[in-house]
Amino acid sequence: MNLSRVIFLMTAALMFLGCSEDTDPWPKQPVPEWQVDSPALLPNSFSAFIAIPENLQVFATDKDMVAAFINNQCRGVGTLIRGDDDKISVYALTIRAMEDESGSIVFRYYNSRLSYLYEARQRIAFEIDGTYGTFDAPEILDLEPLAN
Amino acid sequence: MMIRKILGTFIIFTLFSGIVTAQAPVLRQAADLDVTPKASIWNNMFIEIAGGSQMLFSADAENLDFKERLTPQVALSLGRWLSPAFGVSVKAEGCSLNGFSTTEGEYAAADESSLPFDRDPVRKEVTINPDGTYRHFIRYVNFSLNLSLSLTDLILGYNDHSVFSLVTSAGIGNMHVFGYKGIPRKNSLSGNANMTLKFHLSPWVELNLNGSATAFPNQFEGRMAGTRDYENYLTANVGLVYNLAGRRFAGSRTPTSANPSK
Repeated sequence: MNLSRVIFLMTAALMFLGCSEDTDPWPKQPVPEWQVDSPALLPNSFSAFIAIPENLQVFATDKDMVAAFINNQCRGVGTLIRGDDDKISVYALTIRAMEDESGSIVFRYYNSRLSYLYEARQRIAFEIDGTYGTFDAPEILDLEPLAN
Repeated sequence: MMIRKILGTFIIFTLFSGIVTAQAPVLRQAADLDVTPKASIWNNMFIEIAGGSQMLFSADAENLDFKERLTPQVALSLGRWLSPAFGVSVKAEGCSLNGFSTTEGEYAAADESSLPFDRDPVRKEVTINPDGTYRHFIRYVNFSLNLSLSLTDLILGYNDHSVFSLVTSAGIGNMHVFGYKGIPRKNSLSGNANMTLKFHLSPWVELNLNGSATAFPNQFEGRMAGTRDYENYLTANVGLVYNLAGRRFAGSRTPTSANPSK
């Protein structure tokens, strides 16, 4: 193998190593249709004030959605409330449950700008007339993306 | 404007050095009738083409995988050795750099009325990771004027038959970042330092193994983040040098093979 070929191969290898594409797009999720089925059959309630983490606030829009689930059933859909300084978006939820509810509350968040669906790592035990966070001090969700 | 100044300075410097080296043989002939190569403006001028890889050291870039941080680099240099130990060159190098961004930082494209999402135009052009981070794809070219010092020729003396030389160089330049995938077009002052292991394959051809570091202001790609005022990239490449008229230096210890008259 002559020298010029060695030089060519070395340069080509270096440049090949240098080429890299953008990150593969994260799976886009359709807009969820979250609603509480038969709320009249769920007499007990739990109030929650939650906010999305700071690293996602930049991408938040008014079309984003938050909902609470127990045993994978939607038990409450969030209403966006903006603070006076408009810097943080708080979602208020009334979470409904049956008399003998035993499952944990799980929050999900849909970012409409990115079309990403997230689930919070927090697991909250349901308490009749219980609360989780306040408007002035909402609980920040610890979110992880859901692929499906 | 800066590029023109660099090129203008180089041209003046090169022509001046050509006049000086053209006069030297005449004086020497008069003194001891030494036969020296015919002076030419092309004497000891060289052109180098190089290619390799580089890595950006910028705020948050450490979040990229090692392979994602490596990007291709090409360089073209034109220079002249004024003596066996000292040289000057202009270099254009560039291609791409991979940066990384979180939602923190200040952005050159933002103004008072910008919504948070719109402060960095890159967000509309690239894949946003689920945690809100994303890549910056930087396309650039860096023009620089460099002074070179051959350490081996300076310390050991010039020898036409030397197999290799160790050359160090430093310079300043203008780093031009192209408008690409939301990155704003911008020019920044740059400084660079270079170390070269030069293999003399013939009087006309040399193989260079180059390593260099180039520094520039933090906001060169439109994002101001981290605590450092300056950021940098490191480059490793292989270069092929062609000496336009071979290597010719009067008064060398051994006859140059590019000078059959001696």
